[in-house]
Amino acid sequence: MKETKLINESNIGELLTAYYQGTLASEEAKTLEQFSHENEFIEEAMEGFDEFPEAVNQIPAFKPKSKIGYKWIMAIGGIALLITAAYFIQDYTPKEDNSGMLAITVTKPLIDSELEPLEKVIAKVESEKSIKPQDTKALIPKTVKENKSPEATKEVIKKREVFEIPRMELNPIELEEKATYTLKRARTKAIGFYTFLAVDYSKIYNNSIPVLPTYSGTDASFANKNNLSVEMSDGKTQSTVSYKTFLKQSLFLMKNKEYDKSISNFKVILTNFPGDVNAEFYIGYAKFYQGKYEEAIPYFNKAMNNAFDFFMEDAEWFKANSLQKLGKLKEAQIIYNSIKKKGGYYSYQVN
Amino acid sequence: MQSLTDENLVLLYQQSKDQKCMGELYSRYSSLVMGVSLKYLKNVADSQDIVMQVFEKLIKDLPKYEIQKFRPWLYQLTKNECLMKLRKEKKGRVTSMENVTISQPKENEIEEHLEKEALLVKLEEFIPQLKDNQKVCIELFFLHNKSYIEISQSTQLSLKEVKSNIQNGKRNLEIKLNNTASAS
Repeated sequence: MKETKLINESNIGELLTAYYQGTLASEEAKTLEQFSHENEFIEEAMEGFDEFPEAVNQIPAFKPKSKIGYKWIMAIGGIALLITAAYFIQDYTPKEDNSGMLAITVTKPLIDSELEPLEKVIAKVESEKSIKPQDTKALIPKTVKENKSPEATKEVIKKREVFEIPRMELNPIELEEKATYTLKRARTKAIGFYTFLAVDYSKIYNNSIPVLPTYSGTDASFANKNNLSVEMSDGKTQSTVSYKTFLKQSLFLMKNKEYDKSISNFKVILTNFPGDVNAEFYIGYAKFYQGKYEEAIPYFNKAMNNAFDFFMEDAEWFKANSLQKLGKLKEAQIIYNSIKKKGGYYSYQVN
Repeated sequence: MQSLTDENLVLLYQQSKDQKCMGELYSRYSSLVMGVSLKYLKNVADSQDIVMQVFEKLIKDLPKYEIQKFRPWLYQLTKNECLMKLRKEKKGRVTSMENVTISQPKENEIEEHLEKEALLVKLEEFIPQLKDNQKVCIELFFLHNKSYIEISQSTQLSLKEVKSNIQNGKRNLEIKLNNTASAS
């Protein structure tokens, strides 16, 4: 049996857990049972859970270790010890109280993402695959150096009482909080226009966007800034605007709930800059608020798979909401569970 | 990230060391790793240790390897970790795991399909030779696509008996098939 729409690599763990929690529908349970007989990994896992069904609720939570290694901690500790020793050796006594000193905060400049686009990575590796045969035995590590106990504590996730779709139009405080959170995660520069956050591609994109003078959604505050007019052969003039200006304009339309116009602007961005994650996400977002959930989902998928993971969580959240609105409750629930499990920005809103 | 394949997640992790990739792989496979560990170690706490060990190993070592098929690779790694733990504790269930090999998926789907067809024909010959309960359970499960619960309801056998009959029946069929193959 091939992997079906019902069972695939992204939901197999989820289905297995649901099976032993008794929450899987009979049809899905049947498919999983059949599938297990053709896949040793799943078959053996099910044999294990058959003996210890209660263990399905005792799978440890994913908590990666701190990147600061043991050696670094020792080094930092050593330096701290030396400084303390030097302080006492010199018999230094401070004469002034330090409590009035101002704290100095060093802000690390944000760096642009160092990731290669996924398509590029995949293409590169695909081309290498044919050259290097895999020696699977050599891949298996042979020694066990550590045997750490699992961390039993799980984060407590607050429950929401009423289902409410969060706004993307944020107030200044929310915007700052969200910007800090998102930037920390995305490792890329961001800009905010009309309370909407977006990836700042201006360092990457050097070319401007050609638009006709009648393009929609001009905000009077910047209509004539950063644009150049070019006379066409038919006598009409065509303007070009910078990416930032055009993005600002598109989000201005979004703010005014002129979704159709905003979508058409973002489609212009996509034409000029394929793979632009701002356009991918905000087209989905506009369609979501137009009630076109079916059409919104492919754009959220694109935003989720974009090498810039800036809208990763937002797209995942809105995709789940779209599925819920479409009545595809099981599919929505799988994503909600995953959001809850990952403990991200939206996790507290998941029941 | 959910729509990425395992192999793409591995690639992304190797490139970026992004913990989200590992988080996604963890959410996909932690339960499978736990289940396999339970099968071999027969102990919940030890199995939890193995889950943590396996994924700590992945975080540390994944960038070093070129992995074509992640799932069989992880399966093998999990079994090796269990084996190592059993060896350390000097338990007796080691020998059965020594000769485990990774089953590589076949490239040619048509060939695979034809092989399966031939296999099914042979299986249908052998099924009547099984013991009654095994025969009934195997037929209902594989030929009539019934679930364990449905089989249990229609045969009055317990769920455990159904599973055991299917597993034993399958093993007997494999033996019969192997005998036929070696005789021809």
